[in-house]
Amino acid sequence: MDIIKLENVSFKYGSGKKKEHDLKDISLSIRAGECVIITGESGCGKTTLTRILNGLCPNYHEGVLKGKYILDGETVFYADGDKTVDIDDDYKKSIDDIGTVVGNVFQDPRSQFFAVNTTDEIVLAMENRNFSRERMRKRIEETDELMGIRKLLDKSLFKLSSGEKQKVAIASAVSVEPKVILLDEPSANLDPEGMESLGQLLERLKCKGYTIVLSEHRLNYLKHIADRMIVMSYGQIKKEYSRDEMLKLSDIEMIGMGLRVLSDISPFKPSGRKLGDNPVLRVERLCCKRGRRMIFTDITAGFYRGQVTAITGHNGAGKTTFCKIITGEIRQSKGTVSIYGEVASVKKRIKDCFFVGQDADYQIFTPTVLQEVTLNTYVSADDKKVCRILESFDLWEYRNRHPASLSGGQKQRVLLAAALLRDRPILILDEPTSGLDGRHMRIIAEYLREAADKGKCVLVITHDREFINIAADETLNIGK
Amino acid sequence: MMRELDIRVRIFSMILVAAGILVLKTELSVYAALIFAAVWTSLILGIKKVLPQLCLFAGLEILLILLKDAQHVGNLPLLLVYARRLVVAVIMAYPVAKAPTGKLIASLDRLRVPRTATISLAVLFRFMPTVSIEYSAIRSAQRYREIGTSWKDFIVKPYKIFEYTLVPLLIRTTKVADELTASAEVRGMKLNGEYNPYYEVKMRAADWGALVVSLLCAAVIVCMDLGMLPF
Repeated sequence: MDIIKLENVSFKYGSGKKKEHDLKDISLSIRAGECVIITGESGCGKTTLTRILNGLCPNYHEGVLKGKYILDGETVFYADGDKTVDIDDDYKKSIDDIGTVVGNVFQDPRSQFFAVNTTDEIVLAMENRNFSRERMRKRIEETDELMGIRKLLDKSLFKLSSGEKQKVAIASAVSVEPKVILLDEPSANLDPEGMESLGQLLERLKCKGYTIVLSEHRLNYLKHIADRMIVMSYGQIKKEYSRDEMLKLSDIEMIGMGLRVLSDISPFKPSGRKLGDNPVLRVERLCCKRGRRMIFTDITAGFYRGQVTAITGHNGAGKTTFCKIITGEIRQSKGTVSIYGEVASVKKRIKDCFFVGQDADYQIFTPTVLQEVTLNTYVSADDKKVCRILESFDLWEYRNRHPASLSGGQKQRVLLAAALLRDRPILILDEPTSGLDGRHMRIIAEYLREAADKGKCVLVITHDREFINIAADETLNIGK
Repeated sequence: MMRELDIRVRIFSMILVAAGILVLKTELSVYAALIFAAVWTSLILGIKKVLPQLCLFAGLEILLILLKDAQHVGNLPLLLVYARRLVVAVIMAYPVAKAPTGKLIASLDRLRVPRTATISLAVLFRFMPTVSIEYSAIRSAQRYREIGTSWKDFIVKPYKIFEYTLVPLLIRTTKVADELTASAEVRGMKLNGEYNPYYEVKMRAADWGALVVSLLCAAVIVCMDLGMLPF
């Protein structure tokens, strides 16, 4: 039986004045108990499709909607032919009604958690649906049996790892016993072990009879449980693959579609690439302790011009702390950081390093891309160098746009452009490919390789094994 | 037993002391209120939570004594008088602020506080701890763009520093508000609708006892203030 059925669904955000649809003529059926992956390049309409499925479009994100949606045998909305769905007459279910059938797990746990305590978060949906206390307690027990959440109960959400947060988010969705679990890029912030655990959890949920629909870029952890893969492009379904067809897709075919590969990622092989024999940056016996907790100890390594080094390690190992010590933002407990052979003061480290954080929103300060890139550089906006750099990052046409209006990948490129204009010898990036599709991940890898070829020493904090194999010359594992 | 004190009793006692502290006339009654607040909060949260506020009160007291006969200090002594009283109110607020949010919301719901207020309070408690994290992340990013790294910037271009802090903060806040609302909507959160809190709010004998004790103490302090007692 089809639990989800979309017929000729189209959607445009806003008042519908723009010509292009965000979703165009989507027809899709999902059977009960299936696991379906929705994938595609950034901007293809995956997230909009998930918003149609959970009712956020058009009830929360307004827009012009057409077509028909049947959920668990009941009509959610229906408009004849080319007629627009009228929210008052044609839309039959509220977001809340849909929420009893479709449980949601969003991409960023930081902004989907309402509570401070894990138990409060898990029971939230049950409280809002007026479950009795006995039923809530029973559901917590049942969810614990299914997912093993007992040791996560009554904890502060701020103290959990990314994987644990994701588990709490899924437990919150599962607590109301929906029939469908809809996940939007659930692996975006997870390390490889976290992804594996997530894959195992989703397999357990599927065995229990839940229908699982995921919007995802990272696909190889799902290949054992996915029944179908739907590839979207420019708001339309480009192609649907059955499980067998999906598993037969080669890496070249996946790369050709702008996607990440399905095959297991081969072990990394260092390239030995570097410029010169002396390291630009050297850390000797670096230790970091916070209170009683030893974050990492005794790290000695050299980083060279022309080299891209991937800084790896499980979540909480201290990768970001390590890089912030290098940039001078945090003081080390022991050890030294040297730049060009001399022990570098905090001031020197800040002057010689540029750190591009994971979340671009914290790093946008000005109203245009041009101003953002040239901010405090003493380089004029008319300078040819600025034009060249923006063109190389495909940002010239957006130069007068507010950076906040750009996509995540574009914002990342604005920050990279700002870094290169400053001409500092050491460039450090934190998870630059998190949430990026295959094509944009490879573009970032290309930019970093170019930066290294121009003489920069590049350090990248990353879990992304596919990216490491393409971009990195060396790896340094923190925490082993 | 006091650590599990019903949150409605904590709220009631907080309001009682906060309202009373501003109108007490004698210093003796203010000290008595301070002692009550310190003992009350220590029994619920432990003495360590109260010590910083007690030190603050002592500091303000010393400053008041030093400025007692000073000239050209304007209304500073009067401000200090009220600042000390505010410290007493803050000590009483601690047991409410440190209560688990879910239990606090459940208690407010039993007190028939409107849902708009309880949801707003839940969001406030959820995001107050993260405001400093967000600000740190912004300041960290500003370093690499040489924003606010020199004291000259704050003197010559304070409006720019303000703008470069406000812009990313607003972008983040708007995004988080948007995502949080969507998350709340799909989980059935409504301003008018059925809602059953997970935590059961029930007054035990110990809670009634604590309520009576706090009322008695308040009565004694008021009588002291009115001069009805020999001390």
